[in-house]
Amino acid sequence: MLIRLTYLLNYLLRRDIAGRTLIKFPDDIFLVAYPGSGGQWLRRLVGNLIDPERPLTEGSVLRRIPDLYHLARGRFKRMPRPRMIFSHECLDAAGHVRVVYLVRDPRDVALSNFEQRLRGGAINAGTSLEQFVATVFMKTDEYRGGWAEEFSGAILAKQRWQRCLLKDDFLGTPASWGENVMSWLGGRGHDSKTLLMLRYEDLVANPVETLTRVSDYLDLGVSGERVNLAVAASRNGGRAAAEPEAPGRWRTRLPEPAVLQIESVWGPLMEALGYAPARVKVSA
Amino acid sequence: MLRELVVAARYVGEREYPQRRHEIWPDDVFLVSFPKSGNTWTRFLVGNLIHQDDRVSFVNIERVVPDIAGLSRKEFRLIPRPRVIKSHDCFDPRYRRVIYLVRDPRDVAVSSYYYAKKMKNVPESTSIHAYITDDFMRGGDYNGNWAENVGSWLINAENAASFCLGNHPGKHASPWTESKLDRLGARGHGREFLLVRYEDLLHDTEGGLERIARFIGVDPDPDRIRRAVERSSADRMRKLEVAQSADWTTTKNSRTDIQFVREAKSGQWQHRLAPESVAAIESAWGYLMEMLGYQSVASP
Repeated sequence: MLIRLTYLLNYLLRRDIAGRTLIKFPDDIFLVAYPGSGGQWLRRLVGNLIDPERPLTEGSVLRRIPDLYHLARGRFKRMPRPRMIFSHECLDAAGHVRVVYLVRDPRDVALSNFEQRLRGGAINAGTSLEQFVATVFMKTDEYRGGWAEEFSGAILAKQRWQRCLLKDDFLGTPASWGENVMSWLGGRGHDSKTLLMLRYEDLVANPVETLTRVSDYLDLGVSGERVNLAVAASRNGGRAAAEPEAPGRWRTRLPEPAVLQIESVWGPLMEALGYAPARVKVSA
Repeated sequence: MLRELVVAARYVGEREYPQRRHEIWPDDVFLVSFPKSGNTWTRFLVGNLIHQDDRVSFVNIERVVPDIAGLSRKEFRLIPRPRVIKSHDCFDPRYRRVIYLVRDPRDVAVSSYYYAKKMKNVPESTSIHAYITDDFMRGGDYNGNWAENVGSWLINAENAASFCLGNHPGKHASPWTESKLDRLGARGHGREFLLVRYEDLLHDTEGGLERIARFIGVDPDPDRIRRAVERSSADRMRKLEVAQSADWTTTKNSRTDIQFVREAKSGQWQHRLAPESVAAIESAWGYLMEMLGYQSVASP
């Protein structure tokens, strides 16, 4: 009850976090990536592409390309338009006229997601990577797909105040990696106007070329020179965390049962995206 | 600020419409479709199948097969479980048992046009072709456009390649057969999925309803199914509409000179749509139509 009342107060002060239910405008631009897919790297590159004079820092990225999960509703409302917004959501058609979606090999996503959550304290330090993949990353049964459900442990234990910013503990529905990718691909895979799908691996291997595609898609009209500048600024502008993770770390780090489980559920989808399954023969 | 005060007051009284924040249970069955795909008729069929003593009408339909977008938190909580819930949402990972109803987009376009006029959502002077290209095929709405909604539900790990840009399922595929429908649909993560084409349901309503009954877990007794089909006939629904349209949330403030229950047929597009409208739909969504067995007529 106290939480609901505090939420209401925050709502009236526009300090609440709307998450997925934020009211969108048709000129909004969305950068979407599943957690652990290198979305921060994309966010930094695109931010620097738009304004190479002021390289993004950890702090300014939140103001210039805010994500749906941290910024107060009132501040979203005051942002100059067109707004650029980062999200982890599965397909949301409302107001999403232009979407840049970043996809990454799910075996690397599992690893990256695991490390992120360990650092953030969202999973127990004693949890093994194999357990994490089986019980969290590939969760099937009681899976309800809510963001707050997934993160509720962290929200309840460490950030009680944050619940007071959320309506009914709801932040959004990122779903599982495969569902997230497939919801966008299924809905818009054939529509090159409303979806630009990029692979993280291409963004790392050919950042200039890939970023040029983003610039063309968003009609930013920037020069090739500026794309080069943006890539350089993203590499040097920040601190140690500035370098993107190298693709393929799963080959040495991810236990075989975890690889098997991921490939047995999403094998043909992975193949369609150019991530050849390693351990499982894909049946036709 | 006034809007926010109203929202806050509704929230306190549990009178707001939570939509995606509604609490969902594993035993909920969802009857999902893009709007104007025969969803209301199917709601009547399912409602009359489940409740044998209480005939479904436009007055009680929101209680019998409630609309996830049309009920407040308080109202939703009062619906007895197991529930069959109607939804027009694009893919939602929380829906674990899904009946997905799909209809030829060319017929959906015709039906949407008359519905938009009935609801006064488009000016009277708007032509059907302008409506199709400027409204119907454009995205950006909550329910997506036809292809977004249908595609988000029909993709799965096995058929994902057909949804990648540049791939056309017809390019190398064998001729379409009905068995191909079984390969469509979001079945991952222990989900149950039943794909129903509106056209098949029209052609063999009792057979279609029997499949639905088995899926929901209702006894598919032939008498029971026949009764449900009779009680959901287009004639009966038209009569109910005349008597009750002012009481039903969907039609309450709409034009009464355009019926909600229209022809209840398939293939109307053949004499209602201009060739350029057909061509626009087929060139944008032909890949999906092909998966579903809706044959394109315009040359590619």
